[in-house]
Amino acid sequence: MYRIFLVEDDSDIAGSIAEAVKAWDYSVHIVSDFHNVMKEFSIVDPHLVLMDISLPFFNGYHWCTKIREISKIPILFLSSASDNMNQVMAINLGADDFIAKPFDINVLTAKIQAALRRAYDFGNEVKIISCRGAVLNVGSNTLEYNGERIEMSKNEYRILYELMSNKGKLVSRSKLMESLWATDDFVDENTLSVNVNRLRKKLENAGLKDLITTKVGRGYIVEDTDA
Amino acid sequence: MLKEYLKSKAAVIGLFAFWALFIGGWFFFNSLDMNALTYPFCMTGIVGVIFLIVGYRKTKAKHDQIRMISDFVDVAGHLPEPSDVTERDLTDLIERLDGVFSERVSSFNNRTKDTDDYYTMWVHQIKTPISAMKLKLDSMDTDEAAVMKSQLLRIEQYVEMVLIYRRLESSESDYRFKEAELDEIVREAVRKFRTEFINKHLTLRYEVEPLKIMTDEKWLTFVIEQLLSNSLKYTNKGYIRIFVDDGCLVIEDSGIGILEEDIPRIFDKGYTGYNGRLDKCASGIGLYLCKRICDNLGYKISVSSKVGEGTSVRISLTRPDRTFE
Repeated sequence: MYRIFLVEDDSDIAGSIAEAVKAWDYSVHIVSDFHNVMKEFSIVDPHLVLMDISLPFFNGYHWCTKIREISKIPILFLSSASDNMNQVMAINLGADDFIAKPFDINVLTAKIQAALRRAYDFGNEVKIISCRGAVLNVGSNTLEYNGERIEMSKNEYRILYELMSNKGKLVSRSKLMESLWATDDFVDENTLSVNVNRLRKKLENAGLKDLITTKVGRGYIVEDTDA
Repeated sequence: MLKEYLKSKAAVIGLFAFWALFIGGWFFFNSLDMNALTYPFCMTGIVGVIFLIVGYRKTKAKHDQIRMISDFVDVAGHLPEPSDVTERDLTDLIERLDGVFSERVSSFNNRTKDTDDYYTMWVHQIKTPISAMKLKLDSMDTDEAAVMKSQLLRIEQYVEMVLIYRRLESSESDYRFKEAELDEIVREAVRKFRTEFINKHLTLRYEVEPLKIMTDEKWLTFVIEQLLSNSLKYTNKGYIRIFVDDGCLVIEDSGIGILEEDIPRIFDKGYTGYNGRLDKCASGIGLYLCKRICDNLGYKISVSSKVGEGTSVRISLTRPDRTFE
């Protein structure tokens, strides 16, 4: 399990990031003593650092320099000061990426994954979500059931991913559309319906009838039967 | 110059002439020998002319010196040496005014810089609560959250506008042209507004082909986001279409349209037009900023519209009058 070291003084932001990132099976340590970040750093010994710039006592550049003195792990800056100067400065001090606030949580997780993949060759560790014996392989975008592989389009995978990672919870049609739009597929409502129906048919053919339940006028749900 | 000089010496010349006339008259009426006057008249005449020439040259030198320093910012300390009481007084006065002036300028500059610094800091400050709210709303899946998210995006845009507005005045050094992919820039902007598209059940017809352009991504992104935001604001059903036509990026919507008489003034600062007056929040700043930025980037921006049918905004992305560095 990868350990992420989060240096962010706004507790709400830190909390939300921690929650979102935990869904990806990363453990998160939120720094509490901003006087002595390095002490916590050496205790946690993380794989990746998320660093805000404006912090109490010392700024993020300071800690970035300190970390770079002893470690080469990926450092991603999170900051509202997104002008060129700050970005250039962060990169010059050894940061791997710069994410401007306010950011999209999906963008953040994608960048974290990319950084981890670059640094640790994380191909051998794949995330899977399973439900009713169906296994969704997040790394390779495939679904397996009874040892059989079910081919899906990009959109169908995206829909199933969204539903399965929220299993037991209702996912609204808007939320599904948003998640498709986030991956640059600017679908309208009809297309979504078509995609969901096609996905259903494929699941049904593979013996996964009614994996996706429709709640009329509200959305879709994959029941959490394993729980 | 010479004429002016002679004019200023009119009193002396007049006095000289009066003396000559008076003495000549005295000699004449008292039947004295007029020939005796020839020598002193010639002598004093020559001396007088020399005196005038020397005076003229001095005045001319001073005049040139003052003319030269009039281009300087710092005039005091470069003034010619005063040669009489009046000049001394004027010199003192100028030096005092100069001091007052530079004090005001520097205090104005300080204040401007203070304000700029404050705006920059404020923008950074407010982005923290915006981020926190956005993250919370992102994790919620309700209609209310969706509405709040699009409203929050508007707040974010207004915040961005503050910085853009302040920076607009600053020199061209803020523009950095690089090769960029138009498709990526537009997609990024569209993604940002996805919640609003979905909330309003609008169809997006995205027809942007890959196109490499020379641009400053940050400024162009602001323009595109502003235009999209406008389209979304004034389109309640139908579609928004984004496409490239003949080197122009076109954003077209099936919204309420713009009155014909409003179109010529739509890019004026503070002009809100009929639609803007319906929408109390319209400031008439958004399109003004777009126009200014396009001017700075060397792009042409134009609007065509029909009430009830929709609006189409066109940005020509070619910059014929400039060479790329």
